[in-house]
Amino acid sequence: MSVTVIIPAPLRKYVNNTKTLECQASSVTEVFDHIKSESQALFDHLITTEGSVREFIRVYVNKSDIKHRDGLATPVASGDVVSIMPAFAGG
Amino acid sequence: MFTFDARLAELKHHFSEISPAEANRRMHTGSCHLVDVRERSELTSGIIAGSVHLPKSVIELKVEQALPDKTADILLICGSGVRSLLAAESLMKLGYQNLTSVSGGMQQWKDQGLPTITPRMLSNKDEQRYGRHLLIPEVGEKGQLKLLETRVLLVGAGGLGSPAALYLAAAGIGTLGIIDNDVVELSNLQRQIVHGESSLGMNKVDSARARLAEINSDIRITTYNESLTENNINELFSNYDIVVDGCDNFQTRYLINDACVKHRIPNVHGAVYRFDGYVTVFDSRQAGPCYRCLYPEPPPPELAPSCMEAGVLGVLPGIIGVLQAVETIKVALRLGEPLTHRILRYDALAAEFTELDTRRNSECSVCGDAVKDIQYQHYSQQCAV
Repeated sequence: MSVTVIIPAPLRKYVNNTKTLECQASSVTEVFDHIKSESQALFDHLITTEGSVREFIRVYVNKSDIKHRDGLATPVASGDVVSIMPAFAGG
Repeated sequence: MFTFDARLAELKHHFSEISPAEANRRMHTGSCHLVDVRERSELTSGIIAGSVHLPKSVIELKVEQALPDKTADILLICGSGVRSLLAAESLMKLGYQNLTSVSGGMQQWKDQGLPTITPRMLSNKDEQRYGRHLLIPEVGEKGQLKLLETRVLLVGAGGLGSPAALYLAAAGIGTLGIIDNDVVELSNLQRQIVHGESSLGMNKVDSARARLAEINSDIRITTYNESLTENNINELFSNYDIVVDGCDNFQTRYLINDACVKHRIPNVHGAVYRFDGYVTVFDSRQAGPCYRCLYPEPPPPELAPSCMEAGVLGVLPGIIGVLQAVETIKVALRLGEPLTHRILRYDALAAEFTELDTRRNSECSVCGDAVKDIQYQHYSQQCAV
């Protein structure tokens, strides 16, 4: 089994409208390494040049926000779901 | 021949009776339950504070839910002291063991100058209108009266605001405020269901008011045909208990957030994009996060979806807006578990709801521990969804 990354609708344009990515990873950092290998543009949208998650993006491992765990160092295991949640304002 | 008088004498013999003054004294010790068995129409003349209302006509049906302890000390009162004896007999047959009738009933209670209060009650019309709410124990008459007292401000009469407004009006939210400075256009009608073709060209707030008044003419609908700004938000928000964020831009969403934290008003927040949406409740009163805890900054225009990319399945804001209405009612009635520490995300294509945890950031620039006075910040208007 691998880690599943859910790409939110507003960002799917970076990965040919793919909804999920699968990768082998043991931390969120490694998940983002995989995202970078799939799409540098998506990675740049999510991560600052200093290497932190942008302020209008939240990243969850299963139900937990990585900001309240170990940030990008948060461990992931096979079967985990990493969700990317960008701010959107449509109403 | 067995007469009613004979039966009454038998009941008086079987059950003990106490004076209203003695009942009042025992009420104040907190050692007993006082059950008022009069019918609903009789209560307008006054009730006793702390009494439980179980009309004689339905007391057998309702008493076990209201008073499950059959060994409890129960005092029964009616209009004049007769029906309370009959009610005592009914309760005895159900196994209640400590039953006492208040002699002379409410008539004598008042004659002796003992205190009563005027009950808040629904009108007959409201009883009919909200009958299905009244049947839900968690809402009931008390809850419905609370909804009628509640003041909700809807920011935006668009995709999210439309379904939220329709259901909140129907539910009997007593005061609905709506702020929006747009006019109804044909492209709105695919999702903004409070408006119709006959409203094209009208101010959205006027169109919404007309439709909502058709649904419920007994509630107060206050409209504001203007933008929400840092200049008018304080006065506006001070008149409401709950805000429903159904706007369509980051600038207003951050302003709503900051003002809700400042005024300690729950913010029922929803957003949609294409087939995706989410709903949550930002409530600083419950130590929940605010919007800035979640997203300290909006995306810069170059990283936000452009207007051309925007789009939404027309039904999607219907689902999210209705969930906002549900959360609003839960917050108003303090029912269940509002989405105060959770986001509920909906993916229409996958037909999937997902929950994500949220948490307050103690270093938040608006609701953080170090913040003494909230100053509204200004974000430039951008076409971002």
